[in-house]
Amino acid sequence: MSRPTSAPAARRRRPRWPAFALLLPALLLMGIVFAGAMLTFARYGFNRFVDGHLEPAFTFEAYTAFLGDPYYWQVIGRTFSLALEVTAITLLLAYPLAYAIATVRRPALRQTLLLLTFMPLLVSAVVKSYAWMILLSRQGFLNWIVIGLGLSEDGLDLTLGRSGVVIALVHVFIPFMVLPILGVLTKRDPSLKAAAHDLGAGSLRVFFTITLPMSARGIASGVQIVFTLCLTAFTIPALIGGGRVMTLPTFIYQRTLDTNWPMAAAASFFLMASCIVVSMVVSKLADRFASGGKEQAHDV
Amino acid sequence: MTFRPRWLSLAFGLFVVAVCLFIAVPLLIVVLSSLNETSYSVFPPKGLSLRWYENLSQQPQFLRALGNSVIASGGATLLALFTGTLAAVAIHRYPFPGVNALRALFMSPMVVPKIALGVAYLILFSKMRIAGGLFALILGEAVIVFPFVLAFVGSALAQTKPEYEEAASDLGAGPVRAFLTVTLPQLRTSLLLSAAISFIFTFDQVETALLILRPENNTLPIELFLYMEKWQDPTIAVVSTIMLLAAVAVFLILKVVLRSVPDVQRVLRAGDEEGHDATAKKAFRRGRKPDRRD
Amino acid sequence: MSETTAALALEARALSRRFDGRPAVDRVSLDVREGEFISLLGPSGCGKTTLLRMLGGLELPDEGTIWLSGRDVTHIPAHGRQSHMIFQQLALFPHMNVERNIAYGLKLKKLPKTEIRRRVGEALELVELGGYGQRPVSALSGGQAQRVAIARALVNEPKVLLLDEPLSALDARLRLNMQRELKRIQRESGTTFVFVTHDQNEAMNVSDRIGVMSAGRLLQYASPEEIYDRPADAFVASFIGATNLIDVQSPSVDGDALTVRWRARTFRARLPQAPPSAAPDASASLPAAGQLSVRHEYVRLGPAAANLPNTLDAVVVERQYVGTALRYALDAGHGLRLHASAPHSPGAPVHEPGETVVAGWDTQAAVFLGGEPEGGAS
Repeated sequence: MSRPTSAPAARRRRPRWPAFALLLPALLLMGIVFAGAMLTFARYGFNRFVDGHLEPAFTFEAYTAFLGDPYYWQVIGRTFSLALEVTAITLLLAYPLAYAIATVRRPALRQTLLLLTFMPLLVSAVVKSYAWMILLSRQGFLNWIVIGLGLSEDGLDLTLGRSGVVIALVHVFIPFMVLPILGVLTKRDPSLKAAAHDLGAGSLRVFFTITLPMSARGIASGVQIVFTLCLTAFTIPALIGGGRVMTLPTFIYQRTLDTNWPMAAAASFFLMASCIVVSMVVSKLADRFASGGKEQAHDV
Repeated sequence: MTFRPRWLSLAFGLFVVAVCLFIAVPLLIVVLSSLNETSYSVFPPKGLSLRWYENLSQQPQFLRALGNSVIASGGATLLALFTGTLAAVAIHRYPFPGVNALRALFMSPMVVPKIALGVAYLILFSKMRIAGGLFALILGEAVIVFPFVLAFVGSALAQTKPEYEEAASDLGAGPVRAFLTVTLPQLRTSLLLSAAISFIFTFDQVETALLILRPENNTLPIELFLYMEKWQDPTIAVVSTIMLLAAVAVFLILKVVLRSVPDVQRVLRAGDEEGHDATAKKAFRRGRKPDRRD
Repeated sequence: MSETTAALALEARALSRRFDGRPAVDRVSLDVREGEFISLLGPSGCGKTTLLRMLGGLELPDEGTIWLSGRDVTHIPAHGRQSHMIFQQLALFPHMNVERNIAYGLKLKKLPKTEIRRRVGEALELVELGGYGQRPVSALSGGQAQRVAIARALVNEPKVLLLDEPLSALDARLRLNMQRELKRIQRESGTTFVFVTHDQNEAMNVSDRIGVMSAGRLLQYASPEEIYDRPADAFVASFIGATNLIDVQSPSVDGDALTVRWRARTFRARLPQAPPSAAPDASASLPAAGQLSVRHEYVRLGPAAANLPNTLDAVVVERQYVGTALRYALDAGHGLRLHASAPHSPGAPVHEPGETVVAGWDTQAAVFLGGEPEGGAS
């Protein structure tokens, strides 16, 4: 075949510059504001804080101080135990709710439940904190019931304390647990359940042998979300705890106000690492649970 | 389909009702205490009145804070939508090496605790000498909701076939025109959803705003937060009630708006199987069978 | 088809396109006359869609040149070309109704509103969808969507309409209707059509000329009759219709026919397409070996075959009714398996499996194909 005599066709491919032009605003925002803030913050973690002043340095003092002091470990321990407790209670309340939404047959009821579950997401955490403060206060709704039932003479004070924080956190996090569980429950194959019934399993047996294991992934992502949200929760511990329930986020806030930024950085990066580790551990566990179950099923 | 014993159904039902009460009662109590006559919160209320609503007019800081909140959330939402949509287009339409690393960086604000981000912003913005202002808050909150936009718009883009853009180009539209007239309209559902989520999410940011704003620039949640640390009178209940009503209004508006967009139901119905013939389904929903006149 | 001097709507010279170093389209040249309906036919992956996308400007060639109405458009992207494409999935814009879909190209040209309305109306009439303008595209049936896609392209009065297997999603009956419709629309609008398909019947039904492609090459580009009766090589012969391929040797020109040898026998075949003036030394340019192509329906059996110039004795191995025809599989010995397809009518002789019959064919029914399937465009 002879070559064309007209101008040789140049090799033209999709050019690269549009990609860069489109990415530029995002790169500026994420590069300067996000990466800039995180890197600067990280750098401040290696500065020295003496007598209320910051001194430029490169030292691990803040980290060794943070990790070496039993008091801080108390804060860490409290944060984790709080998160564990809240996650467990949230799961206990959210799973039946999700199950009800997934199985209820009347559309109107289903709509109501969905609205009730997810509408509170639009309500500010500050407003919810306030709601629980007045609900739990000495002259509040709960004590009115407690006294009314004759359980106590002059009521209990729940406001400024750990239990108040736990209750309010559970209240805030229920939708975050319902959502992923609802996701797997509605995806679940109903024929499996029917098959289990055919084999003569009672409804509780079906639930524990079929439904619950199959929703493991939903539970895992719910636990992942709620646990990390709980580790990093600030508004509710700060308001309802009233400074008496010191968790890592409130601790970071106070060190920041004291301009002890190196300590704030040490605690912040520890908190961030904790969240990542927790997420990884939970998804590893979920993987093992899900795949382990499958392997067993194949063996049988 | 279930052979559940009666007592089990009953116990289950009661438990779910209790959970629902647990969710709803605190919010109702807030509304009730805003109508309380006394200057402290007490249940049952000693008398009903609207005096705390009148009292709010003497507290102009809340209205100013509302204005600040709207500006900050609106600004952050627009900024995140703009940067996030363009970035999503770049990632999905112009693949380049290292795209996964970049996506990981873009999604990483989701794993950073908000309080840590707040301190980091405080330090950075102080150095940049923009701390205290709403502009700084807009920048900071745009970063927080950027991953939502990228994920939502990105997944919508992945579902939008490049064939539509090719068809537009074939009919004479340049790349920019093809994007604006053909691709963008198809993204409107996810743009709307990510805008709504971004606005709601940034509106309730406490950790970042608390640390970086000057008092006159406080947003509504911050103003409430600081007020609550000092006082507990029903003014808070009044503001909270108004915010609650606003939330209900937003919810209803969202429901109406989203329902009017035809394919949002498909987006929202998470349990729905993929791969259905969406066209046929949509036609069916309109109550019209596709007529075969050929 | 007479070689008229009609102006060329489209001309491509030596187009090549490689993906990751693998050639998808390999030095393809073709021309399309104005008002002509041509098809690019080939199995999936043969490069026909890539070729079409290059003609439309959605893909730029690595090498070669494209002229559209005499203008070099090789480097002009799709949105600058006056050719329009019908996509396999149609790509009707889902967020616009029928009218706005069709008006899309006209709006880009900033035509006055009344002009746009008029032309959209005309386009809808052309595709027989008058009154459908306000329908959402999601409410259209498959065939209606096809028509809208065609109207959306034709309303811009393209020099060439490129169609990328637009009928592949339709069921068989609707397909036949749409093929007829395409022909009608093409005739009425006078537009040049370039149609890509992998379905040989479809290509035969609609085309003035067919380009058969395989592995990126254009093997033959000719009228349907010519491709059927004089395939350029074994691939074309077996891809279009069903044919018997017999390995033969030493072809030579003998008067008004070609003789070839199969084992101890001699068969007569039609002369190759070489110009008659070259007859004396035509034998010299023939390859030493090749294949004889005899279409299944050209093979006669029994008494009907007795007087034909080419005959063989064969044993019936299998018989099958296929609607109006009877299909036979025959064993002619020496590993040669033949197929014959005979029209079935009451009273016609039927041969039983195991029976030995005479199989034969006419000289004009046999085509000699050179050994290497390297034939270029005619």
